[in-house]
Amino acid sequence: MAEQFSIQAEKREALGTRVSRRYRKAGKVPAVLAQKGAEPLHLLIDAKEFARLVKKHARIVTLAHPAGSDKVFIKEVQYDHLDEHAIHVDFTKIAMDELLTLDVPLLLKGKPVGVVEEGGVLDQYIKVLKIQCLPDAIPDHIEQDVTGLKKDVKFCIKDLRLPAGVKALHDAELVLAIVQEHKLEEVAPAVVAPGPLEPEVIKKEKDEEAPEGAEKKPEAGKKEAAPEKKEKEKK
Amino acid sequence: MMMPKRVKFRKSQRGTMKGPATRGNRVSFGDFGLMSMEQGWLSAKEIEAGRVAAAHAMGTEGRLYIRVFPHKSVSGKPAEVRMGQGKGEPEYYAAVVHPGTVLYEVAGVSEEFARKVFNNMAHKMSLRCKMVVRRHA
Repeated sequence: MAEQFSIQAEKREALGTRVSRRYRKAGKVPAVLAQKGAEPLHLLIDAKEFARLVKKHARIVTLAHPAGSDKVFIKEVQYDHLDEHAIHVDFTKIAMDELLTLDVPLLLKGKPVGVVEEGGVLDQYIKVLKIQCLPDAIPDHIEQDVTGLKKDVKFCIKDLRLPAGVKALHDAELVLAIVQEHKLEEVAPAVVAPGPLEPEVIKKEKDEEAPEGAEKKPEAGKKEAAPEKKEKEKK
Repeated sequence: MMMPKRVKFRKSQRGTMKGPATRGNRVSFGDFGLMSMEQGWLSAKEIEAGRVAAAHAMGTEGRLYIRVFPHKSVSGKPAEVRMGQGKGEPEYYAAVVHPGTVLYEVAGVSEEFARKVFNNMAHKMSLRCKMVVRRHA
């Protein structure tokens, strides 16, 4: 992480859903700065400025806020339902000599031999790696060359070549990717159905538990109520 | 076409489609997704048409994930039938889609290629759609 990022934050006086909505309309994003052994700070950051940071894959940021300036880690960003705008940001204050646990994307580079020569498809099961490293050594992503991967050969965590100072927090045998045979769709012969196809309806099987010959007795309350009604109708 | 194998009731009520998608609204399996920007019913026919369009565009490259399933039966009355006499017979099955629902996902292809595939697929949908990229962290 060569590039240094910084962002300005102001104190958020009013809290709550309605107020936060108003802030978002005004181009601000509500944020929280969590710090060890201290109360969290409620802040507001500029939406456009933050979007610029996200575009550059910033993870560690120098946050200037009313109580001072800190190196913070962008722990979580919540987005709106259309995945367009950030609606809330969680920052965590960090120490530069403390190990951090975070997720980084795993990118597989190159076309495997199993795809080019053997006609398989590369299936990547794990797209995000959980790693532990110092804040200085956070990689944007972990890129791995899979050109030599043959068909039906598993590519596991133990085969990964991680950058110096980065440790993967997964089981060594965890399968990351595999080249599998391409499943071609079977073209079923067109069969003319006699009527419209319908799913099976789940029916309750009645009187299965009741013994044969046993009659169901109507409830006492109902039995009494019925003659009264008839009398009323006669009147 | 996709439809449930077993159902508890043949006919269903219309239900509501209020609000944004609170589940199935992130790219979870692939690298890119086709997200609905509107609410509505996506019929099994449309889902199948989208799948076929993707199969034609992708060939043997990459993987396609279908993230919606038509659970809802939609009934209708035949033409020139007077109102009344009860609810019509089930005509087709549909998936209830909210704004933000990811309809399809694609893995193992480049962004440019995925954009082309989703463009073809979006033409088959009755809802306004857009392509979204997986957020890794």
